[in-house]
Amino acid sequence: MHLLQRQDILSFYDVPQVFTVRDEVDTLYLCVLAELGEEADKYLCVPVSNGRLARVVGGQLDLREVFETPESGEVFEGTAHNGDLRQLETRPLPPGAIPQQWLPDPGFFVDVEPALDVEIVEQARTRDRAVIHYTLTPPESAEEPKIAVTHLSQAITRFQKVVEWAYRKAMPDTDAGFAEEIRLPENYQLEVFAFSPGSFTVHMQTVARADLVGFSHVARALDILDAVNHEAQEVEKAVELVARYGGHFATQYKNWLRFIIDNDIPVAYEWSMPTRHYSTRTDVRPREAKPLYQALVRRKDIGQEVKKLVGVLTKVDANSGTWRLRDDQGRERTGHWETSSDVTLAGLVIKSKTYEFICEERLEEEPATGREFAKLYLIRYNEI
Amino acid sequence: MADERNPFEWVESLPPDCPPTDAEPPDNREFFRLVGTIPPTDHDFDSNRKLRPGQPLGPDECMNRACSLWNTYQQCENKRKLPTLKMKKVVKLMLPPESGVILRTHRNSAGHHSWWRAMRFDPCAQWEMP
Repeated sequence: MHLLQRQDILSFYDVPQVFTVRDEVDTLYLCVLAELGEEADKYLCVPVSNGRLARVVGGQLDLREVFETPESGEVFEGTAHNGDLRQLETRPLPPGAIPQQWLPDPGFFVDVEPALDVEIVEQARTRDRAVIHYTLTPPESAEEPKIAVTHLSQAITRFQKVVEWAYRKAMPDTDAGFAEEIRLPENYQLEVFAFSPGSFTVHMQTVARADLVGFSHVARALDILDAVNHEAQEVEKAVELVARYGGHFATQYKNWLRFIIDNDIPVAYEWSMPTRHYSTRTDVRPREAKPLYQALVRRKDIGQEVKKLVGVLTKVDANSGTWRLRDDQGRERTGHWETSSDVTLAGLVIKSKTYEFICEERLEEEPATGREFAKLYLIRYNEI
Repeated sequence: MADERNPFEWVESLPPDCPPTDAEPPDNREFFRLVGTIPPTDHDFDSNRKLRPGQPLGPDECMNRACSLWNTYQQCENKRKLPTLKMKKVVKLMLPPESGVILRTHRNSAGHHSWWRAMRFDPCAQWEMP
């Protein structure tokens, strides 16, 4: 048998190392260079379905597994004479006859860099907003184009929360030099306006238009997210970057990674805005996300969002474990303390003394509506 | 032979219009390559064409005469899992502008660059352990 038509090179190193070919009856094969010879090179080839190939190209399937557990049970030895891959002669290898040195080592994943999407740049310009293409590759889409509703909704919700908290963290603590309108939620709130046909690429845009020069403020958040994701393989660097912003951003970023890992869904997001003539793409794969997620879970300190309040106590309720503090602007904040903690409010004076409360802000969800709200838990206090 | 467009003398003869016009001097950037021995020999930086003269090889003769480099250590190290590259070692090269020209190629292989080496640059004198 001859494998005639080379399709795509999936890994190149001086010569094609991993590539696909088709035979006379259009069957698709995945081949790996197994041995270089003076007169002939040897290849290991297996028939592969489109679904399995998609998992290889998506970096989800270990290359060794493709050859060790071929879908059809068949493995072929390919021979190319004089380095000429246009004529690859093949012969079947009996089961168990694959020379071990011809197999890739465990842990080799194809690392394909996708072509950038020029449509995004055009969409950002015509819509006058930042545009994000968010691509999901769930396991259920391997054989036919479909996605579980929960996967789609959670993928969008988790991404929106990461963008929101990256945006909030991108705002400096002081108001100096920042107009109030930059702080408006419309800058980071996203809306879906299209899907790419035949895939699960969700087209999103910011609610707010770009400013007069075409700058979309959500870029502040996406730059942070890009920076963290681009360091994902250097786990320690990525953890330090997440720690720099910390708090709710760290929590939401961990939640997003956990969604990707638990559901085995590689995601990619590519974005642009009217001032840019190019787009930026970032891929997050479960296999690469896992070590970073585990490292972030170990660093419990970086998920804590600490808030400092100064004011007079107006109420303490030991039964419900709640307190209320009024600042000098007359704004009242209610919070909790955990009776299991070392914190006790016994002896605090209501309405006549000023206190500094150091609290942890936790994001919680209403069970009925799923609406998110912030809850303050007292860590310690000082009398001022 | 060096000319106005290609101000280098190349380590091997190149076909017309090679290197591509969008290939650029590397400007002291760091790259990684797999070599057979530590220290590497000149042979470790040979193109596929130099290693296999007279054979058909790939259809793009300019690419046959380039040498693969990688952006990051991890990308290069990962290739050591492939059957013909298992025994190789990773070295780092800091390429000055006079080392030749590079171009991002084989976009399906993330981080892959092709390097057309200038005659006067000796990688065996410039390599480092990563």
